[in-house]
Amino acid sequence: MKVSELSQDEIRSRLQSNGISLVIGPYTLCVQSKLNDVAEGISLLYADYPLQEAALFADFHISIESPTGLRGFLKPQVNFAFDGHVPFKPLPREQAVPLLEWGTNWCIGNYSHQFIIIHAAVIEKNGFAALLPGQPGAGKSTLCAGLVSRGWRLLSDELTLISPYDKCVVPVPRPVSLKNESIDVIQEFAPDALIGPVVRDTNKGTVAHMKSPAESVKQANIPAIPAWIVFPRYKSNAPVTLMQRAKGRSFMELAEQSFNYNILGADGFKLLKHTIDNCSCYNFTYGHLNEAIDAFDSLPIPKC
Amino acid sequence: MGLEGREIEQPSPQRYWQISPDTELFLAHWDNEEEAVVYQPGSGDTYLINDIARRVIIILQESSASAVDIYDRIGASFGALPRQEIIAQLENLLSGLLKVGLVRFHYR
Repeated sequence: MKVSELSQDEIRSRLQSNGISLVIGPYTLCVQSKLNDVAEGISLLYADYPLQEAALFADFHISIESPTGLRGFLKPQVNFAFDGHVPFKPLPREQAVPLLEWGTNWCIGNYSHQFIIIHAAVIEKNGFAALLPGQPGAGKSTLCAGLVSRGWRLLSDELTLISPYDKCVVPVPRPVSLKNESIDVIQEFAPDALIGPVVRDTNKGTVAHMKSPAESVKQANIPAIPAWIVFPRYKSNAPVTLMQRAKGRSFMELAEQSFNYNILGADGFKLLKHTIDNCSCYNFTYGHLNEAIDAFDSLPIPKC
Repeated sequence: MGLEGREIEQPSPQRYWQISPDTELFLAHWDNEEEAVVYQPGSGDTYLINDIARRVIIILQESSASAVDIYDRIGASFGALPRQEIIAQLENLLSGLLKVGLVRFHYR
């Protein structure tokens, strides 16, 4: 059964009772909330996701609720709780849906050490994965959203999970986080893309989430072989450039961008080395999405 | 003529360098690259190192060695620099590796 088979009332009712259990790649996420916009956000952004019975095991039990008390009337806020523990300060009430996404990232990043986790978008074509690590503002989510609107499969826009067993990228496709100008860019570039409510004045500026393509959700149990590591940089109107990048420096950058490289110890080093050994590494500059997508479609297919 | 009143120059004891004995270093290096990565499980730290440091570590993984021994193995790659200058540079590099706990030394 998928979320889209539930009515809004049924989604709301599940959220307010035992929770709604979403199957997202290797995880089951059980969400509880009394907030209508969370129900609407799940109905829109998670429509294609399989459901699991709430009574069964879930990896993460989270809730998104407004704190009680007088303050709730003066300046409404919203809290994220994980297993009853509230790890963050409350955010303004209107940020409930982004908080669900950020909190889920936090859960996976902090409690999922069966994989090495790298802060990078990751997409797939023909069985091969391209990792897009990058500092905030580098344009990786915009590029990722553009690519998945043109036939690449979304594996994740934030968290690249690599399994130590088969060395493959494990998909965890979730809504793509768009910020500031990139919201309009993607709306214009991919008019059919479903984009959730636009939320202003967050710590990241104005944010909105783009629904994952249904096909990416459907193929969430199909891993991909890491083949390219592309460090993107958006520069207004710049021509596309794809330059080979040193593997040693790429290793250091991925280790830096990893949530748990240090926790995994020598296993993390070996897994990251294996990944770098088998990937071509590039610095990539782009100024127009169409040209960027052409460049990605022309990436050399690895010999393996 | 006797030696009274003259200072006898003592040869300074040579430092013999070795990989820190309580740990094993993991190296990663890729063809045609001038830099490599070294990981020390003991501390959990990872460093980007230049090619000379990588070659020094490989020598020390085989056995302990002085800067002179290392010079004898890889000195030629420093080009036309005077021997003493290269040995001094190797000592500097080894001191840098010592600071981050990758190597130790003893006197023989």
